[in-house]
Amino acid sequence: MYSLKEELYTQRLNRFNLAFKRQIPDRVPILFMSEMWPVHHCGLSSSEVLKNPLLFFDAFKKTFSEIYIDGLYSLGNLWIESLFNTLNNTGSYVLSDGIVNYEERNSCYMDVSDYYALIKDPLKFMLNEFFPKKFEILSYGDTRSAQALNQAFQAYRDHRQKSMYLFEQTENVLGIPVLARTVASFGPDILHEFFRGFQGVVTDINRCPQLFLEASSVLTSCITEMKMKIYNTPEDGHIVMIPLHLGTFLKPKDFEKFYLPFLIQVLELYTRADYTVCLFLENDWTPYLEYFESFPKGRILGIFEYGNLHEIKKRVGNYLCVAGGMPISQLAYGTKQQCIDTAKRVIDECAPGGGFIFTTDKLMLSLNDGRFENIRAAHEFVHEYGKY
Amino acid sequence: MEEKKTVEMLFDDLKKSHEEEFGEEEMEIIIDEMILSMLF
Repeated sequence: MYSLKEELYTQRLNRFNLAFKRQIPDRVPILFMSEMWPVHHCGLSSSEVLKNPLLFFDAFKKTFSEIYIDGLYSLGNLWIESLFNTLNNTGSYVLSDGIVNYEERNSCYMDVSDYYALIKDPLKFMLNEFFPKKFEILSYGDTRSAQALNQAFQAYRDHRQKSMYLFEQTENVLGIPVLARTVASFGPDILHEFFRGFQGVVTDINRCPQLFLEASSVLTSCITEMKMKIYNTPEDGHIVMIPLHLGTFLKPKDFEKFYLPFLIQVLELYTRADYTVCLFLENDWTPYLEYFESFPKGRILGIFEYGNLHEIKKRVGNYLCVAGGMPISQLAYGTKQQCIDTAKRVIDECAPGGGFIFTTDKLMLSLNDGRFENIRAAHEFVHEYGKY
Repeated sequence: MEEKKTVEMLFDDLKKSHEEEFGEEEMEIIIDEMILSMLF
C-alpha cells in the first residue's frame, strides 16, 4: 500500500529532479537551507542536538508541520564533535550557540615542503603526514594511538548510525527529501580549507604555482573517487553538495588558472558518472558567469548567495538549474508583506521556463536568521503562486 | 619494544578488527567516510 507520506515524498523528489534537469515541474520546489534554525525554533539545546543528532527529528517534525517545504538541503549536522573530542583536537571548527564556525588558524598543518608527498599519494599523505600533525595522539604510533583511533571509530560509528536513522526517518516518516547525500570539495578549496589556509594558498599560487596545480589535480581525483565509493547510488535523485569558497577571492587571472580548471574537473567527474551536483556559490559570482559556458552538460544546480538572480538565470539558466532568491536579511528584519512581495517578484522573474528552485540566499544558522512568521508566509505564498 | 605504527597501519588494524561486524566492503566505506570527516 502506497502511503500518503510516500506519495508526498515522491512528488517532492520528482519536483526537484525535473528542476535539476532544467525542465518544468508541477510547481516551483521550495528548498529549506538551515543548520540550527529548526532546533532553536523548537526550543531545543543545540549542544545536546550535536551530541545526539536524533533530536533533529523532533525539530524537523514540529517546524515542517508549520512551514511548508519540498526538501531539506541537508541534515545540518556536518561536524562530529565526539570524533574530534576523542582525538583531543576540535578540528578547524569552534562552536558558539550550536553554530559551527570555521577557524582559519587551525587549517595550516601542511608546509610547502609537504607538497611533494601530497602529490605522490594524497591519501597516504593525509594519513601518515597530516593526521599525526593535526592529532598529536596519532603521532605516537603505539597502543595509545590505537586506543584513541578505536574510540574515534566508536564515536564515528555511533554518529553515522544516528545520522542514517535520522535521514531515513525524515524522508520516510515526514515525507521530506534530504537532498545532499554527501558534501564534497575539490583541490584548491581542500588546500585552502584543510591543509594550507588562505594565506598559504595565496602565497603558493605566487611562489610555487606548479606544486599548487599538481596538488589540486591529484586531490580532486582522489577525494572524488572516495566520495563516489561512499555515495554510490547517483540514480537515487539526491545530490552531491559542493560549496565553493576560494574562487571569488582570487584575481580573475588566477581564478582562470588556479581554480576554474579544477571546478570543471570535478564537475566532469561527477556528471560523467551521472551524479547531480549542487554548487553552493558563496560570495558574488556575477563577474564569473561567463565561465559557466565551459561547464559540462549534466545535472548541475547552483545556489547563488549574491547577485541579481533574474540576470543570473538569463545568463546561465541554459547551463544549470538556478536556486536562491529569498534574502535571509529580509526574513529576519522585513515585514510579512515585504517577504511575500519579494517571493512574488522572484517567482515572476525566475520561474518561467523551469530550472528554478526557491530558497534562501544563505543558510539559516541561528534563530535570528529568519522570523518564523515571515518564512511561513513566504513559503505558503510560493507553494500556491509557484504552480506552473 | 613496541613497533611504531603509521596512521595508515593503525587504520588497517582498525579495519581488520571490525570487518566481521560490517563486511569488508562496508568497512572500507566507513573508514573512508571517517578519514574525510577527520579533515574538518
